[in-house]
Amino acid sequence: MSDQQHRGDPSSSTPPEPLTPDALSHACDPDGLDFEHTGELADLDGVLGQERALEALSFGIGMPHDGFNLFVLGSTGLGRRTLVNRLLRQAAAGRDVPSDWCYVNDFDAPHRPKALRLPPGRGQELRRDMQQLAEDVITALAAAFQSDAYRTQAQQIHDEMQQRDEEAFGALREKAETRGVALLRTPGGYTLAPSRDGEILDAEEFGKLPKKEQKAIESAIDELKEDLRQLVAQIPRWQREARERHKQLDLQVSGTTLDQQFEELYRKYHDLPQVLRFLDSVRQDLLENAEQIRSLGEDSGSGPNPAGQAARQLTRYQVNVLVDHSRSSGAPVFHEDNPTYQNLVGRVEHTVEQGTLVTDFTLIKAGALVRANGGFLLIEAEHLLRHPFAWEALKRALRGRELRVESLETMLSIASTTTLEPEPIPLDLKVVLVGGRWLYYLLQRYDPEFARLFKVAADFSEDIHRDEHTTGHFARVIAMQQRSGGLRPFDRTAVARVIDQAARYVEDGERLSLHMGFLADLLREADYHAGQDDASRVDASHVERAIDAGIRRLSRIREQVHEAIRRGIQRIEVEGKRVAQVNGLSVISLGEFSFGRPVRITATARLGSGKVIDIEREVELGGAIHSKGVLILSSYLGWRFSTGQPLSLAASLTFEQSYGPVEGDSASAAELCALLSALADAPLHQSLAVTGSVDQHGLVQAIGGINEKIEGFFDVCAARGLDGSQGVIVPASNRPHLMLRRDVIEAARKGRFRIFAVNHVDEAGALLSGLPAGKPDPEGHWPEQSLNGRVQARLAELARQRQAYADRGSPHAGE
Amino acid sequence: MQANEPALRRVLLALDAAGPSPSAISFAVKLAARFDADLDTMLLTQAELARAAALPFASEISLLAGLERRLDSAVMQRSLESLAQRVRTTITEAAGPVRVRWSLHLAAWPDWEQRLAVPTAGSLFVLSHPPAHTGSRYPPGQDRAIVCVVDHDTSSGQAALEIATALDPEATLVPVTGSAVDPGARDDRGPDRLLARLERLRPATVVLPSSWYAAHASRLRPALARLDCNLLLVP
Repeated sequence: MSDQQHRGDPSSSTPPEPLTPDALSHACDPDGLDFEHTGELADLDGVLGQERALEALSFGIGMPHDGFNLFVLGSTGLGRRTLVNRLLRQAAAGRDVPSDWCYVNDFDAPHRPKALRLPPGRGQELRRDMQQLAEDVITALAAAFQSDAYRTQAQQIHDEMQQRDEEAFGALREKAETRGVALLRTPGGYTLAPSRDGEILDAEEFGKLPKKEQKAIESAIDELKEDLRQLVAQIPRWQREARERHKQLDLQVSGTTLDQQFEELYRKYHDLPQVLRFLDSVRQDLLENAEQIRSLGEDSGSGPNPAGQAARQLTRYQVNVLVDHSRSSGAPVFHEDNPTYQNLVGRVEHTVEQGTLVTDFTLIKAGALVRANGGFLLIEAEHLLRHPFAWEALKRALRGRELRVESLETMLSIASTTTLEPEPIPLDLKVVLVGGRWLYYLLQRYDPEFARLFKVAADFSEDIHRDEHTTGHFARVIAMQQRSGGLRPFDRTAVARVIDQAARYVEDGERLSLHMGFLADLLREADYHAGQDDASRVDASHVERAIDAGIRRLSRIREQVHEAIRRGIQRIEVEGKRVAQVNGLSVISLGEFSFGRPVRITATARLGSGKVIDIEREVELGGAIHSKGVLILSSYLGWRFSTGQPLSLAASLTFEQSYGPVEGDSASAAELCALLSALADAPLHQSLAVTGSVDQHGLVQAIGGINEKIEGFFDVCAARGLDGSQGVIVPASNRPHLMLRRDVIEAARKGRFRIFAVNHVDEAGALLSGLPAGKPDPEGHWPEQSLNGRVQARLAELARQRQAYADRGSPHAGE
Repeated sequence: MQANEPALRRVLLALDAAGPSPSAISFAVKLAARFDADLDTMLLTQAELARAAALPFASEISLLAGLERRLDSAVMQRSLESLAQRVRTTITEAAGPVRVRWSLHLAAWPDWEQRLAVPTAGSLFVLSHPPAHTGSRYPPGQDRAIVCVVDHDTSSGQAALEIATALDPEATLVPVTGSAVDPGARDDRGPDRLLARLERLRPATVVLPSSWYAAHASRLRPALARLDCNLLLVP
């Protein structure tokens, strides 16, 4: 097709007929359903419409290699979590129960607790055994050191030491006495003094002695002093020897006692070398601290369980069971609903002792990662990313395939309390993130590690193609939801109405929404209304009431907007004709509820250089897509009407009484009609509203929110009185999306409201102006009285004016 | 104090220059608290040390590595005052919590063991032993018994029996005969038999009539020191 042919060959140059009422909605016919009520329908095997996601999930769950974690994407309400949970639990049930994980004290480096991996269930067993051991050891050591056997040997050492002490000092004392000297104990040691008949001589008495005798005594004292000095010099050695002999005895007694206590444990855990090493280190520590431990047994006194109370002080021998799988069957499926850094990684708690924060390995608490180790961890991606450091921690754990329980304050160096560096725990788990598509693509775009760690995307479909087969399946889904929710059975009229609403939910008569959240809410609300009527089954009227009530609850703003139009505050004309003015349609979205609002679009045209000014854009209320739509208009005009001359037009377009942001190109068809009207000076019917976007060749393209837009204009017209002239011009490509309200369809059936589906702007122009679009001759000239002919004439006139203006030498000619 | 128990006015604790014996002080404080008596502590052997220190060549061989230092009266006085202060501190710590009234006297009794034999109604004597140089400890235990040496012939023997049974109704009783008051009845082998028995029993506390102890002090003192038990003398 040549360019010239295209310019003059719209799909139809004659105005189209209004759509028939049947074309306004793809209603489900209850008579086409082969059941009376949902109670007759069996559960659906499998999942409706999620084959792609199921395949991805099955692959991701089964894939054993690194990085094949899953990101389940789709919008909320699709039933992603329910399905993923079900699949994970099925997969987990067939897998081995993973190991228990415990932390125990590292006696060489208490700030680095050791991780113990034990067969499932044996963690608690070891914890109980160690608790019992501590109690038994306290009692046994206390008993051993109070036994006659020990005491006899200790007495023997004591007596030998004492005897040597006494004999040595006794011998010196006797030697001194034979020399007339007494050995006296002083507060700091010993002194030697002359004595006579057991009495110490004082200085005066000593002075009275003959000089010779004095010298002999002094000489004897000097000699004895030397003996005393030698004797005293031996005391440290005696002390050392006494200590050593007592220590050896204590070690021997403690060792024998501990061996008896440990014998059974060594036998019980002989198959676990890691536990045996732990038992060795406990035994060694008990041996080194036997005296303190036995004193606990001696001091514990009476009570219901004195050894148990004392044993609780011996926390260093305890076992902190971080993960206990004693009651698990299969691999764990853990869902962390609040994935903070601590809840994910675990934490090291502190207690206050004398105003200081202290901690030990018993205060290490498990996080989701270690709980799910060996299985699956399910996390909401948005929750995860909302918590500081949690995402980084998860990536670090997956990257390193190990978990380091590191407190956040230590990691950030914001606290200087005593803390721990627990031994990392090897990780082997599958993480499943559930999130929206936007989040998935953002992570893909901005986090280079994401694609490496989450290789499997399970993309949940939002809707499914609607045909007889899927409609039947959808009815069974409704039946399953009804039963699982404990609701009344839905008769086939109700099911048909729910199916219609599922199509309306996705704004497409040929598709059905797969949002199970939406479906469950609608069924519950319909059931409520059935309950209000004491009905045993839910019928279409109950579903209708549920839908209406839902809209009514949310439509306060819609009513305000429509009231403003009805009162003329928001100026919308729905009768008569106007030049350069057309009713466009916009959609206001308020969370779950959207509604259409007519908006008056006006245009002006004058001599200029071919620019179409978008006033919304000029004041920065128009978005980029809207501006694109407006720019297409000048391109369309130039292409269609000014091939041999410059487009000498200056036009302005605006949404009247619009004070908020405007985005999208769904009004570009209406804007083009207003502009053509301005150029052709052709009045347009105000009873018709227009929606749709146009391309550079005037083809009208599908837009979103078609049902809300039509219903919005219908509501405004209905409020002023429907006379049969009112209607909406919509893109023909939107016909499959029509799922209009029953009152709109009813009005159309009675000929009081019309919907025109157009393919080209010529058809819309003809409908609005009442003028034919015309057909250009081979030279490209349009019939004089056609709408396009009048446009072409006006543009030619503007071009001539521009040329004349330029010839007069205007410095601004051409701008 | 319970009804029908011996009425005591004071507990007399004798310490020598070897310093405060924590176990003896603790025992004496418990006794005073038990019988609601005053605790009088005597730091003995003052006179001998004062005389020795006044000698021109007097010196002290310290137990710390055998260092020798010159002694004179002033040095000895300061040394004894320092010792007395240490004793005060130890008694304060022990007696304070149980609110026992106590006093400390510096007693220059060269013959104090004889003096203890003089009956003083309503008093008890606690004797301490200098600790062994080796530091060898006596094996700990809670079941070390109270042993009472019963001398039925004397009033102090009867008093000792009353005190011992008041402290422990199951106290082990070791009968002996003869007292210092009646030399004719003295049993020279009595101390040996008693010590042999004590070697087997290894008591925590030995309750003795003071007269009997005074009569056999020279033999009993070193042996009882080796047994590392508290010695309670009943006048």
